[in-house]
Amino acid sequence: MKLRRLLASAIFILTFLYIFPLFMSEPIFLHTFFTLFIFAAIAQAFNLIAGYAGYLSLGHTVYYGLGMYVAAIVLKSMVQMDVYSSLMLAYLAGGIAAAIFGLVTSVPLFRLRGATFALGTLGIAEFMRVLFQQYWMGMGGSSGLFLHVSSPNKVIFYSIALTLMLISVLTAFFIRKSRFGLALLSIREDEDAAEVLGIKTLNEKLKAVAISAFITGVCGSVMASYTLYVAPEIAFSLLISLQMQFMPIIGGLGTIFGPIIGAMILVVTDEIFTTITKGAIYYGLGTLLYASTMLLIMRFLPEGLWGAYSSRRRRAFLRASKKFKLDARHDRACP
Amino acid sequence: MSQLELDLIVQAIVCGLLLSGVYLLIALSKSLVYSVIHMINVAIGWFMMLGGYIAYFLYQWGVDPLISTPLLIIPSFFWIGLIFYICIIKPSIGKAFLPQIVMTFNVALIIEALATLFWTADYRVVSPPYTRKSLDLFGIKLPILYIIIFIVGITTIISLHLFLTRTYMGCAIRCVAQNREGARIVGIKVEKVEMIATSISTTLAGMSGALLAMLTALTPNIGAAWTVLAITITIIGGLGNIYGAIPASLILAVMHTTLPFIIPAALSHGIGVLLMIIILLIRPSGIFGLKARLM
Repeated sequence: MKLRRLLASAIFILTFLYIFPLFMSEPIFLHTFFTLFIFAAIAQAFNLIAGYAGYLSLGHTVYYGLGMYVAAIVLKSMVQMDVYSSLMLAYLAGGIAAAIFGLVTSVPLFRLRGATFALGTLGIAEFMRVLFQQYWMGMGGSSGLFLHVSSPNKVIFYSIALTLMLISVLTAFFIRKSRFGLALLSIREDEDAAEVLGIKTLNEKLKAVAISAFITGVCGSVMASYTLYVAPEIAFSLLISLQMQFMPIIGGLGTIFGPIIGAMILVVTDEIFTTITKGAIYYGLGTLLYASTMLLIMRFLPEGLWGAYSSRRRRAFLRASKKFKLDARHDRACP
Repeated sequence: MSQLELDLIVQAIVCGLLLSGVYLLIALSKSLVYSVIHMINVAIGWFMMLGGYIAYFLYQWGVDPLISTPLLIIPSFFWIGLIFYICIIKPSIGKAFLPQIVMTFNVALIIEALATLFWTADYRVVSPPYTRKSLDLFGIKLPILYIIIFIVGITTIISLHLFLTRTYMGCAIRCVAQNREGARIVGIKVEKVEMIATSISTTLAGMSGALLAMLTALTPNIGAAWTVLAITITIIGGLGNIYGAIPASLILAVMHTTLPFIIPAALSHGIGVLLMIIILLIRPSGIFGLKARLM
């Protein structure tokens, strides 16, 4: 019953979102929604490894940046192909490159846990940033790489990003409901106990990293084909990496709706504050308000908006079940 | 190898050794806060940036950084550290690791926004006349600025050592770093100790920022790079190990001054980061494998 209601509302919202550009094709709306969808997809992918498996990676931007660069190279070398097939190829290549990179670097890094794992991933991202600042293989160095290729209009990108977000949400949903997801959750709760129970923890973690890196890499390549400019500073920066983590954390880590809500809050507040403070004149005022808002949210709702909401609901359910002598153990975690 | 190249390399090594003073300050700042409250303070690079900007602001009013640092920057950063502890760190102690990072990062963003508002995004340099002079010692040029940096670094670590071993508060800091609950049982006011440790850490960050402002150009977004530098030195020396910071800062500073002979300068920072990853993987307790502790 509950699932059916969820499904109906999801289909309604999706249909609305897909036909949205038909009656609202202002570039600013399309751009904001495009950013929102891409960020939501990234947040969802990041949530797989940080929220479910409990491994915070401070260098998740490395997959995003790698996707960007690989897509840029593919797009540059495939100019003679038609637009859509070269785009598809670029996205696939970006995703696969990121996934392979994630697997290769994660095998040694997964020997670390907690803070040291976070710092190790940060180191890898920083190393990649420095590496791509050098002038090699026609990468453009630190001044970046401009892509002079034809690209579709904003409406097409809007639907690409929406589809990407849909795919990543569905992936997260099915993983959450599967045995694999349960294995990841058990790794988050207690890795040694999970290992004892017979879960091949390294394998499960590597699977999660591969999926997460693939989605993030595809997001990066979509972004590269949208902005038609890649640079080490926008691809591998610590700032981007930290901002990626905001969304699932603000929304609620380890939940399915959390990252989407987080991305929504993040992108919309950023746009609003940049607009009302006239970003170009008082540069920095927008960032100030935005960071203060995030700080207040984190200060008073440390488990995120959706996390706080769902845990309150769960607590209410537990109280009610105590009242009616129901067995609280059958309580399912909210999605 | 010609005589000229040999001279240059010796010169670079000497400069690296002297430069390690400021790296030491950064590493001490990071280590102290990590060992006491077990929290990775991402905002540290931005605090350094703020210190640099305050030095720049005072320099514009004609106050030399060497006078303004002990008289104004150190006390003001002590208070900034107190406020930072009360508003940000205290509520997030004992919470998950992720919200802590996000909290400190938001502070970083706020500092960056304020710096952009007040001083715009232009490059700023603090250049008193003596930064361009140097002493001549057996054919090796010793820039006066580097000597000052070295002296400041050495003085700081000696006084920090004396503070940690000879005073009540220092012993309390070490005690909390070893065992928080035990310290509370013994009757140490843990919150106060943590507050003092955070303040000292912030003060060190401000000092190192004021020194770095004379060395390199300042922009509001340099904080990220300095945070990464701080993390690199700290991990090479061992997380939370104050004395491991000495060899780590020496190694890293010499690497950063000598490696640009062989490879592009930017890549030498990358090599440092790579060294950090390797050390994290094979020897998580730091380069000399000392047990991570304050003493």
